Amino acid sequence: MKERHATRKPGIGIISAWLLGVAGLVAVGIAIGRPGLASPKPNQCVTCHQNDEDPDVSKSSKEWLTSIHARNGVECQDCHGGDPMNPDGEASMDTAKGYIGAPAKADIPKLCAKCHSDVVRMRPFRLPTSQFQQYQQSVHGKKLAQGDQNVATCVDCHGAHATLSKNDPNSAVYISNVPKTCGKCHADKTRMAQYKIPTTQLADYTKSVHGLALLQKGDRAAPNCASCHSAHGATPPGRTEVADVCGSCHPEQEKYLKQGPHWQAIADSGGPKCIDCHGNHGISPPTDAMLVDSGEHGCGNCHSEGDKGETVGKQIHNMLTVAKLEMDAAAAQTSLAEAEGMDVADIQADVPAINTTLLEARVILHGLSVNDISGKIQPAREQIAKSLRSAKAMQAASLDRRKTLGLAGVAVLLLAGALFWRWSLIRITWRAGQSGEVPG
Amino acid sequence: MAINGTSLEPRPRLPQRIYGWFDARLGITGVLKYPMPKSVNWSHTLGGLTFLLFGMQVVTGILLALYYRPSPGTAYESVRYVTNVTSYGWLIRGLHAWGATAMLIVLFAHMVRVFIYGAYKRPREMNWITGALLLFAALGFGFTGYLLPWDQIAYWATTVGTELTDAVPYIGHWLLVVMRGGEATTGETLARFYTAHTLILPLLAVLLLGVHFLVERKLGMTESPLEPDEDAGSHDKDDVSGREPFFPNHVLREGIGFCFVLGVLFLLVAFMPPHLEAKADPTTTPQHIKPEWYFLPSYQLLKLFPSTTSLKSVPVLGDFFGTGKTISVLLIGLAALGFLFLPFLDRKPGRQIYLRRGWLTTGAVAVIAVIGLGIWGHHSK
Repeated sequence: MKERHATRKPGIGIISAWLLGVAGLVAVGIAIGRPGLASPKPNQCVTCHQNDEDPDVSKSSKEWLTSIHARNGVECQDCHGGDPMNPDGEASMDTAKGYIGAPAKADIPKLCAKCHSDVVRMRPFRLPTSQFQQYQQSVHGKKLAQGDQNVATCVDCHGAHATLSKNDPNSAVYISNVPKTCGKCHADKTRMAQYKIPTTQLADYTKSVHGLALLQKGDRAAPNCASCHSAHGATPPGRTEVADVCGSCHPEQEKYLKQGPHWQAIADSGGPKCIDCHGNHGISPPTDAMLVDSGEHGCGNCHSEGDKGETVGKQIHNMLTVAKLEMDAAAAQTSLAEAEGMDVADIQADVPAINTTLLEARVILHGLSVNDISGKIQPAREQIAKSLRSAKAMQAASLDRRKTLGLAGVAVLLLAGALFWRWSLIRITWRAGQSGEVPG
Repeated sequence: MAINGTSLEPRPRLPQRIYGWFDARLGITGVLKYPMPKSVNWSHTLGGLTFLLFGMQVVTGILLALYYRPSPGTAYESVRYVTNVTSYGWLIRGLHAWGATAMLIVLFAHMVRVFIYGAYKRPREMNWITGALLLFAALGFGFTGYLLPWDQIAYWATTVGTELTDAVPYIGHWLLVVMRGGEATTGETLARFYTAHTLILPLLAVLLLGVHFLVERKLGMTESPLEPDEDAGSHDKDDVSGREPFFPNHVLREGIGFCFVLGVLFLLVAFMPPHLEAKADPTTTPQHIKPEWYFLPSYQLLKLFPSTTSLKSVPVLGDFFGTGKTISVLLIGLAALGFLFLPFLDRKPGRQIYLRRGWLTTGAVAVIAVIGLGIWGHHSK
């Protein structure tokens, strides 16, 4: 036994030490091999400028320290030039060493692209490299190229020094911060005056169904400005204009729209597009009433009374209204049955399926085919009718229980009364027996 | 009259002979003719009524247990099945749910009657203690039974309820884990509560009831504290003059009381059937969680000393109390102990009202406080 112990223990020790050593070497290798995790170099720029007399300069230095660039080895000289290793301030900022100071606004996109268009450099971070190309095609990029110093460049959205990952909730380009970032310029009346474009987009978006979902409910699947307008380019990939982008998130609606008469009308006259019925920035939740409404977003806005479009709108509206009224009636009867203590879980379990079918009908509606919509609504109505019958049957069962058990309750109470009468007689007899009298 | 050793009296009929056979062995006539106290009245039916309601709970409970499946995946569904599919399952479940409430009300009333009568005093200390333990057992039945439907309110009320034990100094967390069968309310908790509800507590209740009845039969019932001094106290079981027999006089009283309660229960089940909420979902906490009405006073007391009040900064006691919740739990514990050992706190022999003004006032204040806290708890948010 002893011998076996003596031979086994060192074996385990050696293997463990070997494994630990290998793991350590691998870890060190990964750390060294990964860009940005190399040992920090002394950076004279930050050493001096973070205590600079100019508050803007010291602030910029401190902001850079918290940035994603600082964490990944992108340093001052990469944008500003100069020699950060030289402790002599004047010498380190020598133009002969490539020092350029603050880059000119027109040069910023190109400067950022130096790294961000470099596929080899961006691959470890899994970042795209098409931003500069897209930017150049955008209104911002085109205006900048024309010499407009007022338009946004990379740093206006991402920050010059405090650049953070778009996935960092503190970043100006984090999904729910984008509307505010865009609004910084686009809600500024003075700034937008020269371009003659409205400044209500942010306010409209904030109140819209999209804005409420993203900003109030925190639904990160809801679109922000960049979802339709693209983050860097003019339009999202594969789209020719902003008004076409709705189908990216609402493909089913787009599919049926393409099957219907409106799609031909779009091809012929350019309208009506999604935004003509639903609006663009201030999209309200769509309602069935839009089908018979003559307001800005209603069918009546384009169609006249008696024309085919108006008639179809009314027919679809009627079908949806009837289904909705039947649904409300079924819900009311179900609530009554539930209030009477009946188990309505089975009826309630059918509600999501009915709602989904009605929602699908409202999607099919974009094709404006009365038959297709009717074919969709009919099964839902049958299901609603079944729920209504179940709810009424439960109420009837509840009434039966109440009648039967109520009568039984009254009968038992009457029995108590009869027993009380009997008990009174027995007591009278007993008392008479106690006093020797004969009960009368 | 007998001729040649043979009786000339007609031979009793078969039922009488059977009765005589059993009477000779069990002393049934003695029980039936048992003389009640002179001051016997309707309040004397409360104890028997509690027993009858307990019997009803046993019967309806057994019927429910035929279908109930105590596991998180099946408990809720089996309760729904009993209510919706089985014949008169809704009635059985309704009677069981409302019967628990009725039993507790009658039991409370019985204890109040016993307190007013001073029937806990020497030599009836054992009767009071077994009665108080039966009250705790009844509350235990209510607490454990509440979880069994495994719906949202059941799950969360139990989670909050069991959480209280954590505030008991030193052994609180151990108690919590023992009750729940782990750190959280899970299927383990359901199994433990079901075992307690259908095995442990019924066995305990039957044992306590046995002792309770034995002592009561041995010592007899207590006369009213309004009777003259010489009559107040134990009544003489051998003196039958002026005393109603147990049967039929008092049995009829009990029968009338039970029929009345049963009639009311039928009406309650018919017009206010017990509700079943959505199935328990440990990931969704309902907005307002309140316990059953009989735990509302302790619920409100806990809100008066919330767990957010930290007492850690209080020297010496801080470590013991921890938070305000511990104070509430200790207050409830002290009140329960005081209630249980009342016969040893009030040891003066007199039972008359005028001799016990202090204790009666204390009792009245306690009852008003409990009812007040309950109403407050019902309306609090």
